[in-house]
Amino acid sequence: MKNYLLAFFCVFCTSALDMHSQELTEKPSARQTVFLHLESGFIYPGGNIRESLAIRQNISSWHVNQSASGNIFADSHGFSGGLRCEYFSSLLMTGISTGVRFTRYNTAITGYSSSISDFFYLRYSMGGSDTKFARVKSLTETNYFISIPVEFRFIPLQFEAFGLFIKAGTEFSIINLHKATDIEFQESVMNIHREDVLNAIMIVTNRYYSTLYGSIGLTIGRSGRPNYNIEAYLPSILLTGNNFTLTETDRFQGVMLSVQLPLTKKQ
Amino acid sequence: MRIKKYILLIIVSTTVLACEKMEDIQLSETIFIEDLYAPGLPVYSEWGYNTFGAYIDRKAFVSTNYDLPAKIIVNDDILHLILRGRMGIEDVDLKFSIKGYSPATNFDLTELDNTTINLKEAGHSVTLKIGNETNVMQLIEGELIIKRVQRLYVDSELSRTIMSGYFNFKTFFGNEPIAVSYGRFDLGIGYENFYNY
Repeated sequence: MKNYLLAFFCVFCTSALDMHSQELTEKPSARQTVFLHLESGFIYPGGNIRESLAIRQNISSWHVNQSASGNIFADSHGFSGGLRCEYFSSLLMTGISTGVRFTRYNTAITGYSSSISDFFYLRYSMGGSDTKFARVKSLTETNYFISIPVEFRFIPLQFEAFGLFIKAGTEFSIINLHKATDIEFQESVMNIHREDVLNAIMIVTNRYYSTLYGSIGLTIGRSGRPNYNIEAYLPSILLTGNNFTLTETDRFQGVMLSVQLPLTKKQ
Repeated sequence: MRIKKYILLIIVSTTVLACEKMEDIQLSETIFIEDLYAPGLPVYSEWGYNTFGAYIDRKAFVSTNYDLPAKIIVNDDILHLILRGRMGIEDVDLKFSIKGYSPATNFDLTELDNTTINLKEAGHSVTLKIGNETNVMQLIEGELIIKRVQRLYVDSELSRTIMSGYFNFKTFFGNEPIAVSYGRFDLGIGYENFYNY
């Protein structure tokens, strides 16, 4: 999957760059526009609960036969927002953009050990003859990234008031702003052990974050006026691994909305 | 005045009983995860999943979700570990009797941590009950490996003991040699399955 996306991205960029280099030799009658994109979107990462997280009945090998009265769930979602500046060629219907993007990921692990017990057992100590479990209602993790995206957009179909586009992009983080992991115990008496339990599950994560993604979308609006874009991510991947404490996340999907403002027009 | 004392006694007793926490029933339930490399048997674990399994020749003998998978009975300096499960459609009990161990409580089972028991040694025996037929095994060879015994604390309160390990032996059954192989167990031993009398 990763190889396929990488190949698609390389071919797309090569074609766009090749057409752009041709454009530079064209006569000055070609039209180029600079757009400012204000974007925001929702991201839905995919992955599994870390096997190293010592949760009782964390059944990660889904292809084996298994039975238990309880279950463990991981829910991850993200939000992103940012600014991009796009250099767009009306002749080639292709644009290249970069900017800055803020992304927040939230992950929560919940579960139940039986049909009426909305907690699970987390092992936080195992030494000598003693093993210690905690009854946990939820484990949560929040991550904030500031990244620089680089995107190529191609509009194969453009009508008077709307158009269809495809996009390929990559981003890499320059700052991992904030990372927090928290735990909610079933019994409040365990709160005095919060730091001990969190220290037992924390791991060193990758400070670098990078993704590779593609999307298809719709742009609505007339030439020379603000346009509104809506796009859906194709199954996309994280190029870096080990970015999260609670889950091993390697892919994501999502939607993005943006306002496209024309800044300049050159002829 | 006497009535007031009785009422106070009842209130205090009720409060004490209400405060006494029972063990989590969830910890005595079975969690079965099949071993990829031993189909039909549970994977070896040290979580107290209340499972065991072994191949008797080619047939899988495993714990079930409805029967208590294990009982430990300590009597007269002999510790009996009884594994109860199913082999096909038959109910099967496998009992290891080990001489020289007499833990007073389930928490004292930690004295068996990292212990390998030669089942052919004097004082030790293995009994196999298939259906209604019970036989004390005439062992050719065999061992019971108690790899890990842990006292389990849940929310800082002592809860139960987890006993995990392996077993295998060769014996005669009906004048024919059989092998019990790839045996493994991961048992939670608590109030409901430890006896000392």
